[in-house]
Amino acid sequence: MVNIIEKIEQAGLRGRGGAGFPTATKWQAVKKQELQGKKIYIIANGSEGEPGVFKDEYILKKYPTEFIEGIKIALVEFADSEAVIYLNHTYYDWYAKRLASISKGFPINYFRKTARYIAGDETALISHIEGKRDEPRIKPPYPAESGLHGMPTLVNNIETYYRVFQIAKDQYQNKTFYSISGSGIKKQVYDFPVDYTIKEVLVKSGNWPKDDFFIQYGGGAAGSIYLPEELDNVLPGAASIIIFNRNKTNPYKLMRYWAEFYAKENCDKCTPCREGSMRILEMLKEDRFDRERVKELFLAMEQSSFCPLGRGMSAPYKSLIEKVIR
Amino acid sequence: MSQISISINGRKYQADEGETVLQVAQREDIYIPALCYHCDLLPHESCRLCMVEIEGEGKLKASCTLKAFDGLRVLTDSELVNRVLAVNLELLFAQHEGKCEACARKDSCKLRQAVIKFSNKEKFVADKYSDRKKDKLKYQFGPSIMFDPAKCINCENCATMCAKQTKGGFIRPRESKYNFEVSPSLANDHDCIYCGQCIVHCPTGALSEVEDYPEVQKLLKDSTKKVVFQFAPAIRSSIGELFGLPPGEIATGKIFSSLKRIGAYKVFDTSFGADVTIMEESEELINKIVSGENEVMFSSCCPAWVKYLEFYEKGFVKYLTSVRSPHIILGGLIKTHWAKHNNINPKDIVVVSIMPCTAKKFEAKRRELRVNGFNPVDIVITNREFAKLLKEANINLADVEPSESNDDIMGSFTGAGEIFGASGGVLEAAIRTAYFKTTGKSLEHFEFKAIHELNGIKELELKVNNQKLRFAAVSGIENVKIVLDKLKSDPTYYSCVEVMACPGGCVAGGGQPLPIDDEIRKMRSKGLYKADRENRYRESHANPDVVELYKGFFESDRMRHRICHTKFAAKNKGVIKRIK
Ligand code: SF4
Ligand code: SF4
Ligand code: SF4
Ligand code: SF4
Ligand code: FES
Repeated sequence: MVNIIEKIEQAGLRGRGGAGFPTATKWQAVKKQELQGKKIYIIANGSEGEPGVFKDEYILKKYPTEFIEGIKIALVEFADSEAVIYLNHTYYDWYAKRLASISKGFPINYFRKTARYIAGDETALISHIEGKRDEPRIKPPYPAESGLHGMPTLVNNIETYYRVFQIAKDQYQNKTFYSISGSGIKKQVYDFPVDYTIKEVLVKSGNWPKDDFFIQYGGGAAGSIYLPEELDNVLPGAASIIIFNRNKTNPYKLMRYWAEFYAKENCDKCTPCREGSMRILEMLKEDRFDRERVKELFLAMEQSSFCPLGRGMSAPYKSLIEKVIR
Repeated sequence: MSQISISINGRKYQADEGETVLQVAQREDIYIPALCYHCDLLPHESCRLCMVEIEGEGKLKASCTLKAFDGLRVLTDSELVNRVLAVNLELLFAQHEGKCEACARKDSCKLRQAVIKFSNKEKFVADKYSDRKKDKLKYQFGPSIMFDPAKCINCENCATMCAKQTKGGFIRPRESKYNFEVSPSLANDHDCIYCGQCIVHCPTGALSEVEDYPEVQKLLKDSTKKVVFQFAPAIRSSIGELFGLPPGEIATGKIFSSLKRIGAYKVFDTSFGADVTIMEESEELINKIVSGENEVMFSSCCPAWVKYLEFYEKGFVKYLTSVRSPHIILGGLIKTHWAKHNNINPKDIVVVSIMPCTAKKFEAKRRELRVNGFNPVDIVITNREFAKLLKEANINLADVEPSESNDDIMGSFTGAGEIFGASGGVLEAAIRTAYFKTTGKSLEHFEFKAIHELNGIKELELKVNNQKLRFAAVSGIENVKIVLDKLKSDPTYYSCVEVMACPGGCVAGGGQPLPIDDEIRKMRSKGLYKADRENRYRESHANPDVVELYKGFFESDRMRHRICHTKFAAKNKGVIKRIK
């Protein structure tokens, strides 16, 4: 029988949390630690804090058994292991009971996330479960070496475990869940091949807009803006498409929405992200968006933020300014 | 360890494997405004002002965690570095335009230092952003610590430190809608122990001592008052640093002279009080051992440690020696014995203690320490405040001619008293005298090198009259917790434990010159041990004035007891004031 990690590798599965890291590599790193006789923590990241991404909820609602099976596969693969399912508080309140009844008899615990968006970051999430402030930690050590309570920890997104289940059952067809929402369409999740172009996704799901539009791909905060003519590609980042009506969208309002989101949801650990996000929000609130000053802030954020959240914060603004505001 | 070579700004430097770029740069005197880095703490990487450019990559990395590797090439002064750092600095400094001149931490603030360095750079504008913290109220913790959130840069160093010094942390991040704010806990089970270690690790002026030296300036001008100073053992090897002298240089003589110059009526060395403390403590220890009562005895010279027990570990309070701390004993003697001897009304005396410590400000206010209705000590100023007192009187301590103590009844002091400032010093001084008292002869070797080191827990085993006794000297509450755990299961494990709340002891106290790091801790302690070796008296019981004291004034047990002993008891949460 082929080992599950090899199967994951052959399937070329990439993490479904947005960063797209090869799943097999993570599992192998944890395996290495397990072989040294260490206890392993397995975490399912169901924080899903990014606006415009709702496929984890879809799985929790429609495929809870398959998801839990995916976790069980990990529990079997790693000898002395225990799992924690980390859910944002809404998901916890809605689904934890049902999940718990499915996972009965297995060492699977549930953690209710009360903290902000950044706690979706795997190291921040670990700090949070440990009862500390939900700030990302310095890597290395990576969670695979030293994660929860200092033990090797496997952190994967909910969908990733679902796909692992499919791989184990030889049912994986190289698909991923797209969350599609936006003006004039129904918020919905679609299971499409990972190599569909965005245009294909929109056309096949019947969501290609009639009016002039632009989209945000990769999440309603971290995602970048793309124009219709840029959609003949497969794009990087979380599989989330938000459609905006070009004529009806006020870009400054949109930026203010992002600014509000980042100012609240970042962890505030580091200077450029904490203070920068505050200052951008301040400018937008006071209606004096100063492009020169914002450019400086973006540079400092990109170059000196501690974690990817701060480093990537400028992307939506920059692409909106460049392509839509001009 | 293998040597590697890295390039900084085009020049080659040797580095050890595992060293960070920041460590190399600091050793080579290359300025990097690393605000949040403190060698006592794991890098928290929050300020993002230590960024360096990796040559050829156009990318910045935080030097406080960037490990040096052979062939690494970085720039600390490139255009990109300067542009990014200018923005981060503007963002942080936005919060306190123009407040530096009046700031208690003006000279030790790393933020101000960075702003000064950057102010001649073209890109940098100090007041680019409005002050978003200007309406914040200050906090005062007890009579000791001042916290001004308006100057806080959210680095969390204080919180990390405070979590070590208390249980759960008294000063800590509190979440609000957009940001977290560091603030004191209002919960009843958290309190400040006034150790001042948050100050030591705060890069800015957000944390400082409550300054009492302006009051001293006022009193010095008041002709109806006789201002009598005393200064702690621990300040003699560090005060020089604020006047350009190296750490560890002993300035006892200069301290005497400069205090006389600013108008002191009289100056005493608190080491005299330390000798009395030792006389009493060694007596208590011997009685304990002889009577077969084997439970541990704790030192009580450190008021932050005492407060820690009284608030967080109430069950252990009973093990504290009843002996008062040196400056309290000396203050009590000044207002009784010495006042009488010199025909002075104690009402006219103001005793000012210069201490390495912020907790001593709290100790001096404890009502249970009063003697004949007087507080033994009226005002406590830190070593840093002392330097200000001198500087504002235009006295440069470095240039002052040393002089000696000249009191006829409490003027002499011993090396045993002088080492009180170093972790392990109180224990060593007590052993010297206890040994003499039990065996009738002096120790062959006065120094116990094992407790001169910098470790947080130092143990010593001695055989006295066929009894094997275990002692420990502990510094830093984090280490205390380990020792207390041991004692919880066996309260006889140690005979005597000396505790100082500050890591490294009073030489690195919350009121000492900044910066403080392990190298500085070592040098300051070494200075004290050197002073001990050079003192003609090295045992407290050999201090001739102490001998006289016990023959005369202390003949009366009642007087001796009133001045030297007290009772400690469980305490509730102290006062936290909000100030405009
Ligand atoms: S960039 Fe900094 S403040 Fe922003 S989320 Fe990451 S660590 Fe927190
Ligand atoms: S003085 Fe000590 S106990 Fe008080 S806040 Fe500072 S570190 Fe904490
Ligand atoms: S008070 Fe000082 S040490 Fe504490 S977070 Fe603020 S700047 Fe940092
Ligand atoms: S160790 Fe010394 S400086 Fe620190 S709180 Fe105690 S007495 Fe004060
Ligand atoms: S010193 Fe490196 S981030 Fe602050």
